[in-house]
Amino acid sequence: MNIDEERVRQLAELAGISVADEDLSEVANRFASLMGELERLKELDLSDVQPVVIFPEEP
Amino acid sequence: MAAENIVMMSAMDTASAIKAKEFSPLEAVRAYLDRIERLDSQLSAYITVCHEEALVAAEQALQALARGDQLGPLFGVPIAIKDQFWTAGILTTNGSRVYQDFVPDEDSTVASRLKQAGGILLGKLNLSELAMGGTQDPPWGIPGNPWDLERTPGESSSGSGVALAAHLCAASIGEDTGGSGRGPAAYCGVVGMRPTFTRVSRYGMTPMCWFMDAAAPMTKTVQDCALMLGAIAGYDPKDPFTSRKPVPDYTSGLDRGVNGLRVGLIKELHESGDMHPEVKQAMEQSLEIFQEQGAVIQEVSIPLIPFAGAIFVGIADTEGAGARDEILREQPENLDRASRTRLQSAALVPAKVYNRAAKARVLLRRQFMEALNQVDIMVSPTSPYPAPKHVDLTAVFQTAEDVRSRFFFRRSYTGCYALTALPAISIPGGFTSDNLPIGLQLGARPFAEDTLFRAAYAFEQATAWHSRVAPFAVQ
Repeated sequence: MNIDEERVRQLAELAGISVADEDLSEVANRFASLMGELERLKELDLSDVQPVVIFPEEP
Repeated sequence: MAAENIVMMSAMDTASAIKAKEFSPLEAVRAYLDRIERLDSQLSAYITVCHEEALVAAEQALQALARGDQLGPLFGVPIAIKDQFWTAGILTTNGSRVYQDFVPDEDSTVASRLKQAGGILLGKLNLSELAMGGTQDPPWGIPGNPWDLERTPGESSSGSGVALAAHLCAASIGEDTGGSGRGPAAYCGVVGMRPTFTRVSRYGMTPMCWFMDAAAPMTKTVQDCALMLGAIAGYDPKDPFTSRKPVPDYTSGLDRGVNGLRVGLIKELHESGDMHPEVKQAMEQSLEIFQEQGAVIQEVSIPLIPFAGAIFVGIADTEGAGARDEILREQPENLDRASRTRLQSAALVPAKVYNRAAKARVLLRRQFMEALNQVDIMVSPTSPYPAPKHVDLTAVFQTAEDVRSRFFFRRSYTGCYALTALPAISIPGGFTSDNLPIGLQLGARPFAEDTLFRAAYAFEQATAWHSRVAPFAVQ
């Protein structure tokens, strides 16, 4: 996903969130970095993993 | 006993001395209140000081002592708690202007249990807004690290770490969603534990991410940490997810030593090129200390750990944005800029990306449990570097790479235990050449807090790190 301020503005609008003009750059940087980091998880084989909540006493 | 000596004592020693009538609960409370009055204007550890309430509680303790009542393990000990825990009739701000007038009408279970154990509440401690971190303009002042006022005491339980390092309370409670208790403990040179998820009730604790939030005892010594956890742990019908496992006496058996204990060095963290050289050196010296005492050191591998920061933020922040949705939509202007932009960015994460992070979390847990089949505890630094300067921590992010290096990287060290619902403790593990504390983190299997305390105590007794006094506290 190509993430720039305009894309972030559009996504925020769809999500019903109002991002102030002076915050747009920082939100875009944070979002681009977060998505970039999470993109790395694509390298993992997660095909047999269920996204369950973890409790300490589970097997 | 002189007030300046009382405030330097551990919680355990304070309780013992009061029970032995070496000094009274009133003297103890006054010693701390006077010190808070004198020093806290420069530290901003406290949001609310419960001056009158603490004196009344001390008078009541005095009467209990005179009557010969049965006395709790924290009897007469002046404590303070993070302003994220409800306290009946006392302002509970969560470090946010959004909650600047919030006065709960009941206690959190943690606050209630501390009182039942005999603790006397001195006040409510400062924190990063909504227990997140990076707050640029904290409404109740920027907490100063007593080791160097220009540096951060860590986040988000900043006030808890500061109050201990400056001896403004005998023991404290922080909260640890992904390192918010252990991080400040490391940067302030004190002890902080994230217990096993579900070990301690979360009732009345304002949430950040409900399946990772954990109350965190923070103390001057390992023994105090064991004492505090014993006081707050255990099943609570108000939080049905708390474990029904019996709570052991964590203070017994601390001196069993580490002979034969299998200590795992996490390969991926230790080999990280980004670790501060003096932190790495302290780690290696720490391993030697364990080895000299008979522990068996071996390397363990957790390949996913470098991803833990991203997984943690991907889940915790997205959950946090969901939990704060109403605030985000209706009063974003009342949030600090850092909190607002962090939550707004997390609110945009697509469902499939969140789902992938949730799966990666489960895989990370598998890798941790496999490693913990080979060793009894795992060690790493709590943070890859010592406390950064305030200005560096709170500067506006200029690029996505800036976010990665300043925000995600360090979270892998502590976030991994939160993601996997495992207990971990940070203890003083050394100092840099410019006298900044370095935190040593130990982690273990679910509910193996007793093993963590045993190893941490052995290390503490073999070193003098915990007894070093912060420069600001020498007054």
